[in-house]
Order: sequence, then C-alpha cells, then structure tokens
Amino acid sequence: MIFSAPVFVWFFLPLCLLLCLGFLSPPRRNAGLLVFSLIFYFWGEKVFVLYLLVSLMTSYLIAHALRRSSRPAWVLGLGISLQLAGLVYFKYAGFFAEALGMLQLQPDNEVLQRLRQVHMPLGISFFTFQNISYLVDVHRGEVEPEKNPLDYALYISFFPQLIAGPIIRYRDVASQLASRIVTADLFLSGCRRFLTGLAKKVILADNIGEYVNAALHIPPQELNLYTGWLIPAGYALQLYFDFSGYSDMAIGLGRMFGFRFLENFNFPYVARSFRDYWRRWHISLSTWFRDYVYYPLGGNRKGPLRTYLNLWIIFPLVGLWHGASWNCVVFGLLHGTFMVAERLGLERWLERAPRPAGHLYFWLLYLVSLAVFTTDGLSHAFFVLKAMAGLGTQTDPYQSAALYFSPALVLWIVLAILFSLPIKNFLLLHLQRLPHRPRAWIFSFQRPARLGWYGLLAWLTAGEISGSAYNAFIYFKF
Amino acid sequence: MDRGRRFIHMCLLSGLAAGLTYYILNGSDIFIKKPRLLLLAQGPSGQVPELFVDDGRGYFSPELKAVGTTADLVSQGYVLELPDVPLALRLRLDLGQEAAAWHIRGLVWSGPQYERTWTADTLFPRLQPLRDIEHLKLKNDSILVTTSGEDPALEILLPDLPGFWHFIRTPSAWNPPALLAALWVGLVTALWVHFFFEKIWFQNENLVWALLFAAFLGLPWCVMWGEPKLELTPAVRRENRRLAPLPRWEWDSLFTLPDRWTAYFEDHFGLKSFLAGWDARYKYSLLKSSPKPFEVAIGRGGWLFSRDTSLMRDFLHHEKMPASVMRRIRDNLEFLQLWLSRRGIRFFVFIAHNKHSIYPQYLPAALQHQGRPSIYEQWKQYMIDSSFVLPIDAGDELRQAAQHAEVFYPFDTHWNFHGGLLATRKLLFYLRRDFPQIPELHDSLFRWVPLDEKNADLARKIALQDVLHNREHQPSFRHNPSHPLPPPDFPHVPLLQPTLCYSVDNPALPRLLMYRDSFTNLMIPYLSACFSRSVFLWTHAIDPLSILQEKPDVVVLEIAEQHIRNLASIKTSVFQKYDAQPTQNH
Repeated sequence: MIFSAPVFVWFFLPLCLLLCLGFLSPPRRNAGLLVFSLIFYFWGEKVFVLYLLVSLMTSYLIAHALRRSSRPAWVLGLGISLQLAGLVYFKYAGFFAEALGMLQLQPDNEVLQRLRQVHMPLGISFFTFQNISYLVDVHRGEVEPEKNPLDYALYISFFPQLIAGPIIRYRDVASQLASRIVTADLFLSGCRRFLTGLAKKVILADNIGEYVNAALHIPPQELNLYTGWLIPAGYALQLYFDFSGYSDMAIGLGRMFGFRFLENFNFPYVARSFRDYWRRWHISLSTWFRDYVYYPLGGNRKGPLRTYLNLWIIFPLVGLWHGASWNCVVFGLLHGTFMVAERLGLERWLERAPRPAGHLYFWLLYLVSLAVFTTDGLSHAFFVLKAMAGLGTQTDPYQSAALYFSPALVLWIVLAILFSLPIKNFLLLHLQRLPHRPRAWIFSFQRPARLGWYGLLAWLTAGEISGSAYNAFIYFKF
Repeated sequence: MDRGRRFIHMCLLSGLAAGLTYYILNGSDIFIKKPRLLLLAQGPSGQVPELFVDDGRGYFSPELKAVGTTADLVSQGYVLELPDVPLALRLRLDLGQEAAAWHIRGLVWSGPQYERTWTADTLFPRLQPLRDIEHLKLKNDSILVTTSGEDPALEILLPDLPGFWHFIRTPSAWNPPALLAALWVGLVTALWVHFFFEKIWFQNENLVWALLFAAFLGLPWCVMWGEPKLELTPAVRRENRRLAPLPRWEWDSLFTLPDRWTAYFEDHFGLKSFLAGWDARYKYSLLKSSPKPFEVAIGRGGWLFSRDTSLMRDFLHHEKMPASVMRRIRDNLEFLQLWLSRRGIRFFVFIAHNKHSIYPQYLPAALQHQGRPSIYEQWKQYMIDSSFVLPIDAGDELRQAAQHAEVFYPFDTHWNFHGGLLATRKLLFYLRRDFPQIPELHDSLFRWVPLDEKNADLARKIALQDVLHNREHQPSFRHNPSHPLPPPDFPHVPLLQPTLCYSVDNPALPRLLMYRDSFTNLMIPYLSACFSRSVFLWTHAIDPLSILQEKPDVVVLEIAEQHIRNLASIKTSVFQKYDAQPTQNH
C-alpha cells in the first residue's frame, strides 16, 4: 500500500485516525498504531511481515543482551551481522547472482537462478538501518534499551516511515514513544503537511514521471537530444517530489499521531556543490552514513588521503543502498569522485566563482550521474549520455521528441522547478523588509490564502488520485 | 484584522459568489433568458425548415421551443430555443423533401451574452448550398432558395460569437433575473463572510481546517457507503469493464484479501467518476493536454486518436509485415474461400480502415507518416499479386467523402453512421455481382436524424465522455425493412459481445453470416436491410459449426486494419474435420 493509493487515503488512514485517536486512550494508542502498522505492512508484503517482526525482535533482544554482556562489541557485531545478512539476502542476492553470472561463474547454477528471484520486502533498507542505528546507539550508551517490546516494535514498524523513510533514530523518538500529546495544532499541521506531500507526489512527481517512464522505454539507440535530456532532468524533478513528498507525508502522518520527526530535505536543488547537496538531500540517510560508517572509518581526522578513501568507500555504499545494480554503484562512485574533487580545492574555487557557475557545475554533473542512476544497465546509461551530448541516432518517427512533449509537461516542470526552490522563504524575507502598514495589509490575506491554497491542493490531489484509479476500456472488458 | 481588509475580503468573496451564481443561472434553464434563435424562413404552404446547429463538435438538433409567428421581425418565422449557451459556428437547414421555393428573411441570434440580427442582405454571403439547391438569390428583402432534389440543404456560416466585453456593453443582452439572483447571493455571501470571519474563523480557525481535512478524507468514504446515488454515472458504464466484487472473508484466501479489497475499493470509492472527470476536464480544457497522453493523443481541431503502439507504429509506416505472416494469412483465407465455395457460399474479406488512415490531417503534427506502405497496404498488394482472395475496403470512398463531411467520429476510434453507410455500399457493390437482387442503398431511402451520444470510446478512455460526445446526422431508414430476431446460439464460438440477428421479409434476398468487430456496429442498420436473414458474430474466430448451423449464402469477415495480423491465427484445422480435401498449395 502506498500513501497515494485511494485505499490508503480514503480507507486505511481515516479508519486508523478514527480508531486510534477517536476510540483509544493515549496509553493504548501505541498498541493500536502497532496493529495498524502491521496490517499496513501485511497489506503489501503479506508473509514478509514475519520477517519484519523477526528483524525487530532480534534487535530488541540483542540490545538488552548488549547491556548484560561482558563482550558487548561481539554482541553488537552479531546484531549488525544478522541485520545485514537479511538485507544482503533479500536486497542484494539477485545483484550478486547477476555479478557471478557476468563473471561466468556457473551461470546456469540453480542456486543463482533462485537468488535472482528473491523477493525484496518493501522498506527493508529503512527498518534494517533503524535497527542498526538503535543497536549502535545502545552500545555507545547514547540511549537506554527500550523496555517495552511493543513500543520498540512501533518505533521500527510505524507505518508512516516504514516503507520510504525518513530513517528515524531511536533517540529522537524515545520520549515520544513513552508519552506524547496530540494537540489540535499539531494534528492540523500534520494534515497540512500530509496534503502537501501527497500533492507533491501525485500532481508533480507522478505527472512528470509518466513522461520520464515513457522516455525510459524508448529503445536506447532511438534517443534524441530532447528525450536524452528528458530522462535525467525529468527524473531529477520526479525523484525529488516523489521522495520529499513521501517524507512530507511521513512527517505529516507522524504529527497527526503526536510524533515529531526530523526534516529529511532542505531544498537540495539550490546546492552549488555535491557536499552541499548531500547536506540537503535525504538528510536522515546521509547523517546515518556519516555517524555509523564514515566516522567509525576515521572520517576526516586521519589525514586527507584517508578522507578521500573514506569518501570513496561511503558513496558507492550509498549508491548501493539506493538500489542493487551496477548503475547505482557507478552513481555512488561518481558522487564520491565529485566529493573528493571538491575537497581537493574545487569547492574553494566554486565559492569564489559567480553563483551561476556553481549551480551549472552541480546540475550538469548531477544530471550525468542521474542518467546513470535511473537507467537500466550501463549500456542504457551510455546511450542516454550519448543522446545528451547530441549524438543520438533516432530514426524511428514513433520516438520523435514531439511525442514526449505536451503543454501540461511544461507546466509540471515549471511548477516543479519553482517549488523545488525556497520561494516561500524568499518571499517572507522580502516582505519582512516592507514598511509596517503594507506588510500588515499583505499578511492579513495570509490565512484566507492558506485555506484557499490547501483547498485547491485537496481538490487537485483528489482528482489525480481518482484519475489514476480510473481505467476505462475501449471495449467492454470481461 | 481592520475594517479595510475585512471589506476587501468581503468584496472579493461576495463578488466571486455573485459571478458564479450568474454564470450558473445564466447557463441553466431556471430563468427564461436562454439563447434564442429566430430564423425567418418560409417554405411552400407555411412549411418550416429543419434546423441543426454545429457548435464545433458536429451538428446536433437543438431543443425546439416553438414554431410560429414572431412579432419581432416580419410575418412568419421559425423560433428555436437552444438548451445551452452555444458556440455555434454553422447552422444547417434541411429544406423539405421535394422541389420548392423558400424565402429566408433574416436571422436573430439572441442570447444572454449577445444579440445580433442578420437581415437578408447581410445573411446572403453567409449561405452555402450543401445539396439539391438549384438557385440561391437575393430578392428584395428576402433570399429566394429554389430546391430541386429530395434532400435539399444549405448551410449558414456564422462569425465567431462576441466576447465578454460585448456582453458588458450590451445591457439588453443581460439576464435580469439571473443578475438579481446573483446580487442577492453576493449580498448574503458578504454577510456570511463577515459572520464567518468574526464569529467562526478567528475564534475557531482550527475548526475550519478540521472541516477541510474531514471533507478530504471522509467524503469519498461517506459517499461510497452512505449515498452511492450521488455518483452521477456508475463506474461500470464509465469504465466499460466489470468491476471488482466485494471480497468475502475466508481464512483460506486471507493472503489475497488485501489485494481483493484494494481492487474493490479502487473500483467503488465514492465520487471517483466525478473527481476523475474533473481532473481530466481541467487537463484537457485548461492545459490543452490529454489526461492520458500515452493512451490518447489530442490532434488538430481537437480530434482524438488512439496512441496504441502497434497502431501508431503501423501508421507511421515504420513496420514491415513478415512474408511468412502474409503467406500464412493468404493460405488461411484461400482455404476458407475454397471450403466455403464447395458448399456454395460466397466469402468476402472486408477491411475497416483506421481513423489515422482516413484523417491523417487531424493527427498531431508530430504524427506524420513517412510515405512508406502500411502493414495493410503491404498485405493488400501481396494479396493482389499472389492470391485469388481480394480484400475489400472503402478507403477511397471514405477519403473522398471526408473532404466535405465527417465520416469518422472526432472523439471515437470508429467511423460514424455516415461512414458505416459508405462502407456498406462498397461491400454491397461487390456482393451484388453474385446477388443482383440485393437492393441499392440510395440516399432517398434515408432521412438524416441527429444523434448525440455520450459514448465516444476515446473520450471515455480519458474520462471525458460527458464533455465530448459522438454527434452526427445519422442516415436513418425512412422505412426500415429489417426487424430483429432472437439471436441463434453458438456455444462453441468465443464472442466478445452478444450475437445480433435480423431478418427482412423477402425470401429472394440472400442470407448473411458476418464475423466482425466493432466497426460493423455502424454498418448493421444498413446491412441488415439487404438480407433475408443476417447474423452478426463479434469474433474473428471463423468456425465451421456456426457456418453449418446458419447455412448462409454469404460469409463476410470484417476486420479492422490494425488487426489483420490476427488472420494468421485462424484455425483451419478445425475445418478439415468437415472436409476430407486437403488445403490447396501455392
């Protein structure tokens, strides 16, 4: 079940809100939310809900064992290994099987064939990382092991953040798990945030994504300059509004139930360097890698060479976390390389250069990396890059640029670019500089305008969700 | 909030409410001031013409309010009241059914937003003879029209309608009752807004937000279980498919329950068709884009075209039909021809052209073919060169007719009834060589009846069937000789739609068995009138049992251009059970 599905928005969510907030007293809400979270996971992943339970119970027990053990490092190692074993098996088994197949190591081996077909449970990367961060934090003594298994189970499986993050640290929500108050202001701000995220997802990400997906299905040798650029540029916007939309929805849903999650995005597309970008993009993931991999490897405290090496280790891992494919590894390597280059002096040069030069540098290389990230296989990526360079060889008229263009796409892209910039902050900053009377006059419209804005979002979002479920046939479909 | 700002809020919202009220009332039939057309035309012995309006989406017959004397202009006129604010571009007058002299004195077009009068001399340059008009000349204060044939008609081309500012400058065109009502609503809104801000909003702002979100999350749920009648059109009709049933609770199928419930909910949630329709409407009207750009393309003049990949690729003439497939189809058809002729049955293959082939000029600019032969053209040439079975099509006739009339629906994949009639005539032309007793379908047999149907398949595909209708003047028999019969049962034939059966009380006519697809729907009214018994099976799976059961004189296989590859999969082996003779080799 995804948050933008009608069954979630108009069935699961109202039911969950009604029962958990309307009928359950605050002490029982955690149990209610846990039941709903497990139903949510069962809905999409069926029997794999057992894996989720085993995974979270394992880390719950190991965290307690850590405190009692005389060799906590060994116990921690065991806990992390168990978590990673599950992740590697479910997420990377197929990838490794492919790799072995490429190396011609028993390509027809039956075991490899089976490994290629292993189903990856949804959200496994997120809950595995949450489990690991919890174990490490307990080991470091930063948090006490959670005593109540139901609360811990809720921390891991809480449905708003279960399938698409953000990666929540236990220390950030420990006190909220124990007790929290759902105020009207918090609940309604959650509703607004959820609606914003939903609108980002269904109005911008999905509409742009339709064109990007169509372009991704063009035979690679038939890509032209336009479709070549449409893939990474469209995907950049789709990815941001999809992912940040999910994060907004997760944060909003969390607020509805009294949780306050940390922000996961901070206008990443205003970045002028990759270092800046990774401070703004998927913050919970980059800080996770920083705290649990980069720092333990020595971070930047062991000299520049070690720092560069660490970056070269971290970013392929980040790429691999995003997807089990060579494209993701290369994406990570590219980002690692850019980061190293910036540390070698490029960043200082960019700071001195005019601002557009920084944006141009970032966007050009970012789109190149996305062309690799989003495509299916490295050869596909090669053709996209070739088309972006104007060397495409499209001959099939069915793949001509005009067929992947519409006035609506222009509107979505313009809106997406506008909303990926901190316009609200910009406007507020400039309004604050106005004299008191005109400023007060303009701000007097703020509340009605906000209501009108969210009313419009609700209307358009409901239309998009319904339109996506509308599936008419030319002939009667039996 | 000070008084000034509150006043601005009130003005804005009450103005909006008043404008909206005027717009709704003005377009509705609550008040009298509807668009009105007064045509002053007089035929022999007070006869009045039949009038049709084309609002840019095809001719339709407006609601007839009255016919009689008008005091406004001269003597007798023809008064027509239209049901909606029209964007009329053309009017068509059908002037009786026999030779006569008609006088047209003028036209008054008055509506809530405009009022314009054309006298005879200003109207004259706008007249365009369509058919059976002998003379057309200006005489004194009227236009004299002399008709000659059985179905005379002429067209009046009107200029673009005046816009908003014309309406503002023409108080006589205003709609006073709607205006009064709008002012009243505006006043009430102002009072309500005042009350809302003072008593509700600022004292309880959270309540307003809560109501907004409760409506967003709860309305579809409430409509689904509370008042499903609020849905304007049942989804089964709109989406043209069987909807998922309410899942039953069974322990055995627990793991499939979420998927079954999801399917059920997504098919049945409240306000689905309403919301999807509005979503499609704003994308189509405001953004000028197809709501499903990779399924349906919007062409020039608003025409819709399927973006079915194989169809498009074929149209763009990038495909080549493999020789093995062409050979296979040829062998299958020749086998059928021989098998049927041994039983004294004539066999014809009739190909229905795609809309893309007949109206390439309406396709989006990006979709222009490369001049290479299409799949059908390749195959047709192959059959001409190497086979004794020759496929029939009405391509030339349709293209020729398309120059001055619509032969396909703009918002549908199919030809219209006019196109269906042309196709039928072409098919009958060939049939008549073997069965000369089949009657000819002359124009005189038909009267042109307006059709306005909310079932255009491409419009339905993008949830716009309420906006984009199939409109045309359907050639309808003045005296239809055929009547429907209970259809025969063919349990062994897989059918997409029920079988149709008709008969004509003339045993001299042959019997027809037709295997067909949806294009035949628009031919059936005409074909059924030409056979003593005609049976239409919606399948291309020709089978010997149905033929032996029905004992026809003619078997016709109608197939749309994009599906001819399917002819390669006809199972001739089932025929061989009924025939010891082997297939002829080539």
